[in-house]
Amino acid sequence: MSLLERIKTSKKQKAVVDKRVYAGFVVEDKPKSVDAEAYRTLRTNIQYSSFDKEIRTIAVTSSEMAEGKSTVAGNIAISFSQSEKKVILVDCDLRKPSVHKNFKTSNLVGVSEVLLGKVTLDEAVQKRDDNFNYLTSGKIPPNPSEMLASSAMTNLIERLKDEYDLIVLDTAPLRAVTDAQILSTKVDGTILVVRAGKTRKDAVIEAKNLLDKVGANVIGTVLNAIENTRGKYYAYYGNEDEK
Amino acid sequence: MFNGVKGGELMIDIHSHVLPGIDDGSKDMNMTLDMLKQAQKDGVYEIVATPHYLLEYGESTIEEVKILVEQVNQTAHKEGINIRIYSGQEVYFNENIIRDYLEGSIGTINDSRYMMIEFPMHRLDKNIIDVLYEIQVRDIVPIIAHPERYKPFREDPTLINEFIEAGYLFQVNAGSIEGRFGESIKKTASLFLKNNLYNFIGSDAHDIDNRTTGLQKAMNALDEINKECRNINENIFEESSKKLLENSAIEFVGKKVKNKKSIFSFLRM
Repeated sequence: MSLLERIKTSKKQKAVVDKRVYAGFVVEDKPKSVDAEAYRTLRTNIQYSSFDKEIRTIAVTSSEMAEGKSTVAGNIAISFSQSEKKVILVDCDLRKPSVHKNFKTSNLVGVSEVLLGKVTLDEAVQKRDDNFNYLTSGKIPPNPSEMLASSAMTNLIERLKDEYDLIVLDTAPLRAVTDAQILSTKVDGTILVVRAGKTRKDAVIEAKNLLDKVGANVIGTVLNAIENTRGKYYAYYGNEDEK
Repeated sequence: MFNGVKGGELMIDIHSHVLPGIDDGSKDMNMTLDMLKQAQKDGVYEIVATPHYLLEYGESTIEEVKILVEQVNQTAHKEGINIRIYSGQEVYFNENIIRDYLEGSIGTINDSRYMMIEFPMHRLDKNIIDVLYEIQVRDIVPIIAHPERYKPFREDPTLINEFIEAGYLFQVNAGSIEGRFGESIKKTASLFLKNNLYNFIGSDAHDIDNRTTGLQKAMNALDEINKECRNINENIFEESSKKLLENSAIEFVGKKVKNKKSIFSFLRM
């Protein structure tokens, strides 16, 4: 009998499950799911959201914390990379960064170090596969807003545009700090993530106002974590379990 | 099969300052040999030497530790002491842990995936999990030395839950169980033991009279908590310590600490 079993039988208690399990991205782990299909729809919508100008840079933000913007940003980035675009996900949430955790990777160098000129862009970028790379936040700086507002940040985005078809910026929540507002002026389009059943209506309205105030191009909102009521219908098009 | 275990089963001590002249532990080779003899009398066969790695107490690199371990092993063998010493370090938490690791000044226990880390006694740094994240993504599991001794954990034992969630393992000091560091530390150790959240026990021995080698006394003191608690923990320690030296995967089998508020607590407000 294993140690765990012995303890379970000798004392009826549950072992703590490691909660740090890789969160995963649905577009990758469950490509046939309703959620993944929703991301593909979102991808199409983003591609056609602008008639005159191709959207090359996107900021993903939310009104408050824990609405799922990093998950949405990651899924958008991966889903574009699946359509043979070269994509980079950049963690611009220099307050509570999470890209490194979501991909279980080191965060010794990242955006901060590149902006401060401590390392080159090549040294900081981490490669996931041929089409998808990411740049983690790096060390949390004392002055995130100033760093993100700097011309170094603008230059960074421009340089990334030389190498990538699409740049997705994960940003801090709008109502907490000014970071996302600043970044929204540096990108082609901004996506506002709203968590179903959690984000309050006035919070969303205020977030939208904050973006409008700086003249951001809000290309859409994403309603995240919605109860799936259409599963039966979609299952006809391929259920995960049938694989 | 799991049944009542009498003393003498615990043979591995994973925390000790037995190496001579390297930190505030053993002064010289003679003291080291005395400590080892004492350990042998107690039934210990294997000891991990974990000298301090922190400013002022000792900054011997892991390579220096390994050389000294080899010397002690040879000398002990000549003296007819049947104990094997393994290399390790008790790394004091600081922001440069990852740098020190990459530079090779600090290392893991017996070159395994497990690194022993000590926290500050009186404060809980907010960045611990973020800093240690960097060693975890390099496949190293932190083993936290004697959490029962840290004041923040004694004041609020539920603070340890965050570290359980982060995937750390924990080691109890034999002296803490015996009550040698005071009631508050003993009480916290008992609570953690009841939750089975320690995978390891260590003597944290520094000398021959005061903080010495040996684990049996602590296990006997555990009987006071209750027999079942002793048996379960003894088994966890034994199995986990073996796996530690083999560098195989070690399961955390404990449970988190519950926020203990009496239903009458509002009366005392």
